[in-house]
Amino acid sequence: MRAEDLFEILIRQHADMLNAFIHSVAFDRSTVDDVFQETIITAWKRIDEFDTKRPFGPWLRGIARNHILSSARKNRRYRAHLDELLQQRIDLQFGKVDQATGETFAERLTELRNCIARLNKDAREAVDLVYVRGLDSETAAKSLGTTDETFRKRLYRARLTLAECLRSKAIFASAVPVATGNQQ
Amino acid sequence: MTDFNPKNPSEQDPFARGGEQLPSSGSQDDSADGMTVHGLLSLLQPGEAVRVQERVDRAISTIRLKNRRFKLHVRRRIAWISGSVGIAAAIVFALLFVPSQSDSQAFAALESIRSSARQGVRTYSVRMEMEIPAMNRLRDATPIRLQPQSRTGGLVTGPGGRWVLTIFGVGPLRPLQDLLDHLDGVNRRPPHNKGAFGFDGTTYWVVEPSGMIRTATSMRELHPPMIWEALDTATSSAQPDEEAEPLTLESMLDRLDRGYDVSFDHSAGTEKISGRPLTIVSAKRKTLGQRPHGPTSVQIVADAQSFEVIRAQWEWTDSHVDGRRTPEGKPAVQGKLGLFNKPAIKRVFIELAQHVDEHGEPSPKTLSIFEPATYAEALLKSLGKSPQ
Repeated sequence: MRAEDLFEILIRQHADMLNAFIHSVAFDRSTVDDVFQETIITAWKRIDEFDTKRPFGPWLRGIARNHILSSARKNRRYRAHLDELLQQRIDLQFGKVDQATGETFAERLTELRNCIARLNKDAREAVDLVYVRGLDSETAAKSLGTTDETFRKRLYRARLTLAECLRSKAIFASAVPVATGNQQ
Repeated sequence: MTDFNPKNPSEQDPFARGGEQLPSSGSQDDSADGMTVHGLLSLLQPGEAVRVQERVDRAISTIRLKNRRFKLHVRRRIAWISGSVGIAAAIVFALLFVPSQSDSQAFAALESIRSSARQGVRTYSVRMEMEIPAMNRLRDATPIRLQPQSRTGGLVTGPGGRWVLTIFGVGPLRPLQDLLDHLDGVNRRPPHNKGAFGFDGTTYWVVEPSGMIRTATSMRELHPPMIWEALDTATSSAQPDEEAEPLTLESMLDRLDRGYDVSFDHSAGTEKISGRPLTIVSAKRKTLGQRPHGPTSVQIVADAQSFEVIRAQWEWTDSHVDGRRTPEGKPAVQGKLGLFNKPAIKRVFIELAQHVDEHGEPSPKTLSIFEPATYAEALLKSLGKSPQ
């Protein structure tokens, strides 16, 4: 089997993870597209530097993180909410998800689905409308007869609740190994 | 879900997390964890699985294209260096392997078939069959055997060397993709995916499954990512740095000029189609050299008077040696071509306002090409009415 084929296998095995990681910090879908593409091409160019004794996922996320930060430097609003420490924390959590039970990344998200099922009605409805049915927040807010701002707050709280649920199930890390000096 | 507006993401991006839109309470860790959850949830979005695969396909295609260009450059350099040796070898080769009288007549018939194929508009159905070798499951190394794969489509040839090849039901036609789908238990391909590519007399073009159109001045530069992959895989054991040829009638006929033993095939006896006598030409790839290339065998059935191709079949059997699979387990690919319902599609042209060139840049050039969607619909109807 050629190196290209092996590389493609690795990329396809990690594609969902990489996609989710970039989505975590990217501002819009075009940024996701660009960073995803650049990450894979850079990984291929630097494949000789990859230490095969180490897992591929963190190495791939490291490349993606550099491209994300590079993209953030060009966008003031983006830069404002995305700093190095934030990214380290996100990377840490993806590393934890990598260790969850399941062969594929989708299988490792079983607990996330369980957590969604445990959300209260309002939060579950918000998650369902945006992430499962694919509505934008404005349309989702109208369908619930509420304002966009209220809906966004509801969605934000739902994400925090899900994060707490994942921490309680040890899918997310609760302790903070990075020295942010900003812990609660 | 509507696409985002990059110019104003906070309005349309349902996932926008700009500080001015969202509550700023909570620690930085909460924010990071919330963003991580958002990333994970994005995988649940409708169509996201398909988008992920398209992103991977684009990136891998780009890598393969760049690698091929590099290899082509290296090959050209090597060819230049070894040119003088090659010329001497070619002279010896020509002296030793002058075609027999019978072969000459078969070659003449082949030339007539080739000439006929360049005239008029003809529509063919295409079927590809692919056998996927047994492989080991990743999780526990147990062997799995995948069902043979097949793809159908249509080929239209026209004057001036124009052609359009449309394939239905394809995502990337790759055993690797099928394997991964099988292992994951999911089908990443959109259900009614189709792709089309062709040559309009001056420019080669491809409509990728994503809908993007790319154009190029040579077929090899275009490198359509669909059928190529299957053929490339099928031939890669023999010639890993060689690029696969397009699965079209013209290219198939052209490549029989060298490296093939061409002869008449009398196995069909007095078979006729619609009362017309047939000429059957067979070509078998010579086994000289260590790097065989192209289909192993080709059979062309043509009208004995007009030399119009009625059907053709070509096979790659490199994966089997004495009936056994090679250690590499490369897949076998078989193509079949059958003429049907000739007047079904006479002209389907449209004017495109804008193309995207091979570098992804919009081009103001306007070209006349077959319109793939219209063509596809018409062809599907034809396929339903007139099975070969």
